Amino acid sequence: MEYEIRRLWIDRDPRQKQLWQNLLQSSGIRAEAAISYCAGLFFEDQLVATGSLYQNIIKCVAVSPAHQGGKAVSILLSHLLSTVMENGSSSCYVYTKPQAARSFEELGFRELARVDDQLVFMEKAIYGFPQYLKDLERQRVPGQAAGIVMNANPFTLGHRYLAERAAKENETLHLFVLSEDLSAFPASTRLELVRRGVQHLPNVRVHPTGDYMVSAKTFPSYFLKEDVQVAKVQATLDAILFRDHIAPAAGITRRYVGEEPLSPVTQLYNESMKEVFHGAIDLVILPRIEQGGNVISASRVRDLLKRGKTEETKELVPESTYAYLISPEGKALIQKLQQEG
Amino acid sequence: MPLYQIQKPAIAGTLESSDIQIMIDKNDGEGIDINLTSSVEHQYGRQIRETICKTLSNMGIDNAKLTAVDKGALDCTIIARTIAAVHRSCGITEHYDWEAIDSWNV
Repeated sequence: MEYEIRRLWIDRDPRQKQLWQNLLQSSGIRAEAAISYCAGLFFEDQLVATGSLYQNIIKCVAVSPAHQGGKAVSILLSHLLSTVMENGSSSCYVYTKPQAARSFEELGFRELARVDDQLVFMEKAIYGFPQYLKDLERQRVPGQAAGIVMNANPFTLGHRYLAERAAKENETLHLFVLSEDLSAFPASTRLELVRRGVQHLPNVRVHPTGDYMVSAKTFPSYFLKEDVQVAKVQATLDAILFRDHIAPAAGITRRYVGEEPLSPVTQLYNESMKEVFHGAIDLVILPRIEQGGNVISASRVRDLLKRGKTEETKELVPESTYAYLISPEGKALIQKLQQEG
Repeated sequence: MPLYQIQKPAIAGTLESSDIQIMIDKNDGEGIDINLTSSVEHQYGRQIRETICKTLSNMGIDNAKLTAVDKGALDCTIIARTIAAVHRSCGITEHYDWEAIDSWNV
C-alpha cells in the first residue's frame, strides 16, 4: 500500500475536521484557527498524518505513532514545502518545540532563535534571514542608532511623535514596519504611509520586518503547554531575534516603544523586552501623546473611519496619512472596513 | 538571450529517501552558490555539488542560488531534479528540449 496526500477541507467538511482534530489530539497538539491550507496523509484510506500552512508558516504537524520514523513525515513535509513555493513564497517557517528541531534540521531548516526549552523558530529558504541581515548591515550608519517596530495601522501622529523623538535623540533611527498582511491596512500601504510620514526626518530608515516578526494572530502556539502564557513566549522570541540578530546588524543600541497602560498585552510585551534586552539594549518607553483628552492610537483612528467620521481623524494623523484616507484608494479601503464591521 | 533564464524561486524533488530536494533562485552576477544539507555530506558532498554545477553549466546557467537537501540521491536523480527546478524557475511548462536534456544524462 502507498501513502496518499489529500487536501483536507477542515473549514467545509465537518467529518474531515473531526478526523483531523482526533489525530491532533492524540498527538497532544491543539488545533489552530489561523490555517490557510491543510493536508492529510492517508494509508489504506486512514488518516495517519497531517500538516497545515498559514501562508508560509508550517503548523499543526502530527504523525500517528505507527507511522513515525518512516517516510510519512518526509512525504508530508515535501508536499507542504512544494505548496509554499508554488504559492510564490521563497521561504518557509516553523515554530516548534526544541525536541523537534533536529528532525527539521535534517529537512533543511536552520534555527533562527530559541526561547529556553519552549520553542525554536526555524527557517528554510534560499536567501532568508542571512540575506535580510546583510541588507540591514548595508544600511548601517556609524554613531548611535535606535530602533522602533510598529504596525502603523495606519500611521498616526502618535507614531510620528515616537519617530521624531527617537530621530532627535539618536544619530540614526531604523523604523521597522510589520510586513504581515493581517491588518485593516495592507502591508504595502502601511509601509508607504510610514515612509511619507517620516520624510521630513533625514536620519530615519524605514524597513519591512519581512518574515521575522509576526503578530499574535499568526503566532503558532499549538505545541506550547496549556499553562504557558502564549503572548509572553511570542514577545520573548521577538525580543531575542531583535537583540541577537536585527539590532547587531543595524548597529541598534536603543529601542523606543510607546507606553500602553491600558493594554495588558502590550504591557506584557514591553516587560518581556525589558527582561531580554537587559544590559544589551536600552528600552526607552515614551508616554503617548493625547488629543482631546484621549491618547492617539491607530485603533481610535480605525474606529472613527468605521463610523464614517473620516474628517475627525484629521486631528490624529499626519497630513500624508489624511491625504491617503480621502484619496479614491483610501475611500475604497474605508468602505471595506465599514462593511467588515 | 540564453535559453534558460532563472526568473523566480522554484522547487523540485522531495525529502524522501533516495531523492534530493532542490530550491533555486536568481543570484545576480554572483555565480553558482549551493547550500547543501546531506546525510552523506562527508563522502559525497563534493560529488553532489559537482553534478548540480555540471547540469547548470550544460543549461548555460552561470548565476543561481540553490538550497539542496539530499537524502542519498543517485546522480541521475540529482540531474533530473536540477533540470526540473530550472525549468520551473524559468516558467517553462511545455516544449521541452528533449534532445538537449537527453544529452545531459550521461
